[in-house]
Amino acid sequence: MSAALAQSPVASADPASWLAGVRVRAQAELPALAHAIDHDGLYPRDVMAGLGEAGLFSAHLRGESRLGRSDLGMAIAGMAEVAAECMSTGFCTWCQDASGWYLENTENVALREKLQPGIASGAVMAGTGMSNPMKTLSGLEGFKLKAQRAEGGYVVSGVLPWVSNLGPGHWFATVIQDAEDPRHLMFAMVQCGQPGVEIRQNARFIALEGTGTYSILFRRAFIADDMLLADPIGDAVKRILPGVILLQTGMGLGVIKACIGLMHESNRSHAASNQYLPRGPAYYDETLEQLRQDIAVLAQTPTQTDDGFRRQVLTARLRTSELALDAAQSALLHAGSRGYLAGSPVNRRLRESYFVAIITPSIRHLRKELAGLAAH
Amino acid sequence: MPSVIVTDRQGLAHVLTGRAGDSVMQLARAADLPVIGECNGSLACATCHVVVDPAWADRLAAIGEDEEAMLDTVFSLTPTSRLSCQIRLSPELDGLRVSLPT
Repeated sequence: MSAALAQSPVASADPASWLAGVRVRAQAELPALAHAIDHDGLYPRDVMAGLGEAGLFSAHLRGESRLGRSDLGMAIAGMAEVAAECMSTGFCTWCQDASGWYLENTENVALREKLQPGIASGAVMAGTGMSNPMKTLSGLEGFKLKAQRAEGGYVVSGVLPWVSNLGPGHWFATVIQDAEDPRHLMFAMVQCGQPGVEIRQNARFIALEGTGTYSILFRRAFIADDMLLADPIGDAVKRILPGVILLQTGMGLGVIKACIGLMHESNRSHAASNQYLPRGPAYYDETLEQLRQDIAVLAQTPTQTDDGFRRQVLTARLRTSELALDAAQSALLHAGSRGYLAGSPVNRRLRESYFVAIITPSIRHLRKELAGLAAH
Repeated sequence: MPSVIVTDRQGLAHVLTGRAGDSVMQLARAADLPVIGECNGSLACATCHVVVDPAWADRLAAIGEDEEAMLDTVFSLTPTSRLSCQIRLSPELDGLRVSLPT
C-alpha cells in the first residue's frame, strides 16, 4: 500500500475528507489497471474491496454511513471520483450502491441486516438486475423471470441478460412475475450460484469487459420468502428508482470530468488550433458544475415519488448522458489523431460515454418517459 | 432462396424468405414478428425461443451446450424448442416450419 493510501483520511466523518480519501485511493490504484479492466476483462475485486474499506459504498445508507447520515449526494460524488479514473469501476460502484439502496428501502429488516453491512463494507459484492423490470414497467419489454408459488417461497425460471458486478457468490436484486397472475410482482435478492441460479458470460462488449457482466440463468430456482425485498412489490420500485437513477449520474460526472482533463492536456500543445473548436474546457467545466449542483439538490430528497420530482430526476440523468457524449466527442476533437489511436485515453472515454448513454434508462428510454410525463 | 414458415401466436403462418446463412431470428425480426433476440445471437438469453415442427426437428443441427442451457430456463419448453438465432437457413431446410411459443 502506498504512503498516500496509508494516510488517506477515510475514517473521518467530514465529507470533504471522506471524498478526498476515495479520490486518493482511486487515483492511486486505478490508472494502472484501467486498460486491463476495460479491455482485458480484469474484474477489479481488490480495488472494490479497498473502496469499500474507504466507505465508498455506504455513504447513502443510514446505518452504515461514516458521514453520520445517509447522503446520496456524497455517494454520487464518490462514484464520480472513481469513474473519472475508470468508468468500469465506477459502474461496479453503482451496482454495489444500488443494491445497498434496495436494502435501505425494504421493509424486510432481517434481509437488510443480513446483507447490507457486507455490501456497504465491500466484503460482499452485489449487482442489480433491474434493467428488465425498468424497461417492462415503461412498456418496452416483458418480464423475463416467471415464478410459481411453492412452500415457503417461489420457483423461478427465465434468463436475465446483462447483469453486472457479478461473480460466484455475489448477490443481485431483481423483479419476478407470477406466472399465474401477471399483475403480481415480487422484488427479491438472489445469490449467484445458489441452486438453480447460474451465471454465464457468452458475449463480449466494446468496453467495460471487466465489470462482471453475465447472463443469469434461473432453472427452477427456489427463492425463499425471506429473500424478498417486497411481495407484492407495491410502490417499492417507484420509491427506489429516483435514488438509483440519480446514483447513475456519478458514472457520467466522472467521465465528463476526465474528458475535460483530456481537453486541457491537448491544449498544452494544440491550444492555438483548438481555440477554433465550438466548445472548450471552460464551457464543459461550467456546464458540469451546474449539472453537479442540480443533482446534489435532487439527491437531498431521493425517495420523493411525485411526477414533478420524477421529471427533474429523469432530466438530470438525460443531461448527464448527453453531456458525457458531447464531452467525449470534444475530447477527441481536441486530441485529433492522437486520440484516435488504439489504446489512447480518449478512445476509452468515448466508449465509456456511450455506455452512460445506453445503460438502462438509456437516452431513448428517458426521452420516452419524459414524453409520457409531459403528456399528463 | 430458402424460406421458413413461422406460425405466430394467433395461428397465422408467415412465409419468410432469406439467404442461406440467415438466422430465423433475423428474418422473424425483420418481418416484425415478436421475436426479441435481445443478445443478438450470442447465446446469452432465450428471447428468440421457437418451437420447431416435429417433422423438421431432427433435420436441424444438434443443440449445443450453451443453447441447451438457455432453453432450460424457458417456462414453455417443449421437446422441439430451439433458439431461432441458432437456426440458419439452407437449401436443405427450405420450407422449415416453426411456431412462436404461447
